[in-house]
Amino acid sequence: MTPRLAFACLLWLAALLPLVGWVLHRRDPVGVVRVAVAFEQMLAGAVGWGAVGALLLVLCWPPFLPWLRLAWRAMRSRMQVDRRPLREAFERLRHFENAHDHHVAGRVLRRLGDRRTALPHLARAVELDPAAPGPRAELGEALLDAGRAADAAAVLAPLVAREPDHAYGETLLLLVQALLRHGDAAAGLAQLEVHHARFGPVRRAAWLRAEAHGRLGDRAARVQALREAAEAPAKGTRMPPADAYVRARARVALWFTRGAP
Amino acid sequence: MTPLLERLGHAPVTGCVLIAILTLAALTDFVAPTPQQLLGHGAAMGFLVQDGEPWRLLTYAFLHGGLIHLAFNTIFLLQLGPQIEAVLGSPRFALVYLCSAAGGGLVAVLWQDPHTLLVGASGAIFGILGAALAWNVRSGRSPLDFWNYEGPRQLVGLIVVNLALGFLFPMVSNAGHIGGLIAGFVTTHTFLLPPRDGARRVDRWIRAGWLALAASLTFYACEPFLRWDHLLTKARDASTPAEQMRWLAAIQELPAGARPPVAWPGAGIAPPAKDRRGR
Repeated sequence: MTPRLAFACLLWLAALLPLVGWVLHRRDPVGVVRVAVAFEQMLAGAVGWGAVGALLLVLCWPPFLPWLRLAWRAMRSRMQVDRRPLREAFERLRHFENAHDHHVAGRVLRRLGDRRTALPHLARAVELDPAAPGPRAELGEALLDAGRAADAAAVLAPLVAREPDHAYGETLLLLVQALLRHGDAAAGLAQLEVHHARFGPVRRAAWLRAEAHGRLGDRAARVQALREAAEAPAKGTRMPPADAYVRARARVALWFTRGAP
Repeated sequence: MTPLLERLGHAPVTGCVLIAILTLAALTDFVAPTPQQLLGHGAAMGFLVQDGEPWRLLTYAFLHGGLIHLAFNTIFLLQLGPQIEAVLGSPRFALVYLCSAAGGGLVAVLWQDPHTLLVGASGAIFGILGAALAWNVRSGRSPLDFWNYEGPRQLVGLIVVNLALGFLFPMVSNAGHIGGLIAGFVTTHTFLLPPRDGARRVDRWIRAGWLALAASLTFYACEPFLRWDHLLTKARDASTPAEQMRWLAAIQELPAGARPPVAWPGAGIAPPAKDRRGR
């Protein structure tokens, strides 16, 4: 049964209930009231206990609280975005098209969460100034957000080849993500080696390595990488939300790979 | 004033609705209309709908309970109406407006106490918001694609904030808001906009199901066989003492919160039909 068919059946059932109830109540009003009251109590109980159970389950799920921190931080940063540069960039773009203003517009729109509108501005910025690293990295990230992993890899690869240290290796990790989503796990793994050689052990890189090994079918290496990603932080240090989220996901992934070599 | 008139010039349905609302406000009282005035002009009330006046499920949306109520709804309608009317087209917008008003009235009448007075265009205005949401849901690549744009996200925020405000103020009928929102969304999403992935046979059943549900709930609003006032009416009109006891027993089976707010049992019920018929 497809979800649409199930929904149609549910609608018809809901539509028929009052009519059936009305027919029955003419014969036995007390019985209908009893059934309706029992049904209402059962439904209220199921919904209430279901909601409590779901809430407990969600709260006990390790990635939930770090995700909440991440979401909260994203929302705060979105609300603190200064829109003036966007207005100014649009105003200047009306008279003179240039890469810088397209980049500013794309960056501010992305920070506001308007990802799809940001994409053409960033693409135009790269087109006008292909050598600038900022718009290129931003465009790669925007393409990755839009689910266009192959395009993102094509945009990010020249930047990484020219400036692997761009944004302290963040671009390198973005390229790895793009390659993994595109299905090129071996190339992703090669880029992770470069990242490891330059920046040492990084939790997010370990998580991506686990993903790459998983795609390549190397279970032992995957578990090893997951253990690295799930390592507890040093005492007294507070992880940034992104790292806490990765660690929680790695812990959950390790639960499901118990018994792996 | 000119931009306002210009805006209304492109939105004839919004203009007509505003004229109707203001005319009725003038006929009742702009500042503080009495319940009698409002009921006389079509305000909704559960037991009146049950008494054979279902048209009140629609007419309540053109009446308002005072100057502040009127001002809020008029401003909202002026802001949202012309924009959505431009997107949907005037005939469709009129349909959405009327369906949302009826949906809001229906849910409010079913949810609230049968003696609560219901007036205001807010159910229909929430329906306009629901229509805008449906349009955004339908126009993206996937149902949740609209979340990638700032405008539609602000629309969702506006709906959530207004619903939250509705829960804070006891005189606001949030059931009417929710009913209007659902009616506006369903009317636009299911009946007015073409499906994203081509027409399917099951879609016809879904459309028919929504119509059946609306008809069935309207029928229940007119014959609320699980509500104490309906059961009491049946008991009052019973022809034999045994039948009268049957209806009264049904009232006693209702949960405490759903029983009549008067001295019980059977206060004010006339003797059974035996005496009335003179047998």
